[in-house]
Amino acid sequence: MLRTALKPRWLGLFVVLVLVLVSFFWLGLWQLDVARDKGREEVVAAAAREPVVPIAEALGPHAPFPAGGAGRRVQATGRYAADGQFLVAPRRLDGRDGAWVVTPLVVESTGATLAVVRGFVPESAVVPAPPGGPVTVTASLAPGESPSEAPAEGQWPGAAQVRGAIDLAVLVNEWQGDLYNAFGFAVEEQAGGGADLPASGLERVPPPVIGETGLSWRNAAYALQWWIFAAFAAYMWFRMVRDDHQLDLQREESHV
Amino acid sequence: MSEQVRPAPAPERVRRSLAFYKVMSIIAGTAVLILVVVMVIRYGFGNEGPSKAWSPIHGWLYMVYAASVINLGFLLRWTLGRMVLTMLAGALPVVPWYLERRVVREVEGSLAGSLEP
Repeated sequence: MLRTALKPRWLGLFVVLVLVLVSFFWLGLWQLDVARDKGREEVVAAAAREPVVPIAEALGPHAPFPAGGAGRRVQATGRYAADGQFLVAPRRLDGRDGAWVVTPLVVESTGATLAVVRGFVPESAVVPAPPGGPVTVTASLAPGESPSEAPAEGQWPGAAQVRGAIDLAVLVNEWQGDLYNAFGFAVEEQAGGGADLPASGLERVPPPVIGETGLSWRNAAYALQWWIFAAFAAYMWFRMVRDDHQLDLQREESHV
Repeated sequence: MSEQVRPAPAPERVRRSLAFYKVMSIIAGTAVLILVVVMVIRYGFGNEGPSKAWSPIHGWLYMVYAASVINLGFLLRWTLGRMVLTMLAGALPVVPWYLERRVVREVEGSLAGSLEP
């Protein structure tokens, strides 16, 4: 059989087979990537369709971060404590280096503080001050981050403190009063009167997708189909060589 | 390369493979036709629902069609070129229907007369 497979004809076809296998394998991987991306998009879209609840319904001050609370959208009314604002760096948004702007929001109903990621500033940009007066913030909840060393300062002239992470264990000691065991990615900020706050020189940070995002079954099926076609090609090459081999055997027999 | 030394496949097997291929040709030709319609609905009318539902089904149907071509092709000792072309024809609308009629006529002819060497 090996001798048959080494005939120039089958060897040549084997090269073609390898090319087909490699390209179909990559096409399958590509569809699998698409499947992951789409699965992620579906989860994000589903989270955006979830109703926004008052923060009191999601969690209370000091309470442990609720199961399934990540990505939950809450609304809280209060005032930003401008002097508690800090940056978290290094962070990236759409491939650019920069920092998150985190501002403590003192929630009116409980008097406790929620750390709010108000947005992203690119490197060396001016960090805008938070809006004064009462604000109603819609935010996507996230559990506190693990400690991370603060980067060297100086990239944001005139800015307040730069930290390496939103470490609630540190913040609870620095900020006065109670603290929520969570932080929020601001989705929307409204002034007390209900008017949308003007863009404040910040770009909103899209809330991260936490946990399993699943696959789009449609594209996962396409990936599987590419691989099955690759198997078809391999089977065809094998069948052709085997048929030829059997023919060789018969020819040898008839010569004897 | 003399074909004489190879025994002809059993007519019963050929008929079964041919029937499988026949059914899959009709299905594949129809499936692509539907695919064209849902693509028009998607890109012409901006409704991607039908296309999202049909595209994966079409993918699996095409795969079964390709399997039926391989199955019949090896049995009838088609050349690789013919097998590949017949498989590719399954990706076109309606074309598999005509091809299927030609193949069936050819195979039935040889089954009736000259399958025996």
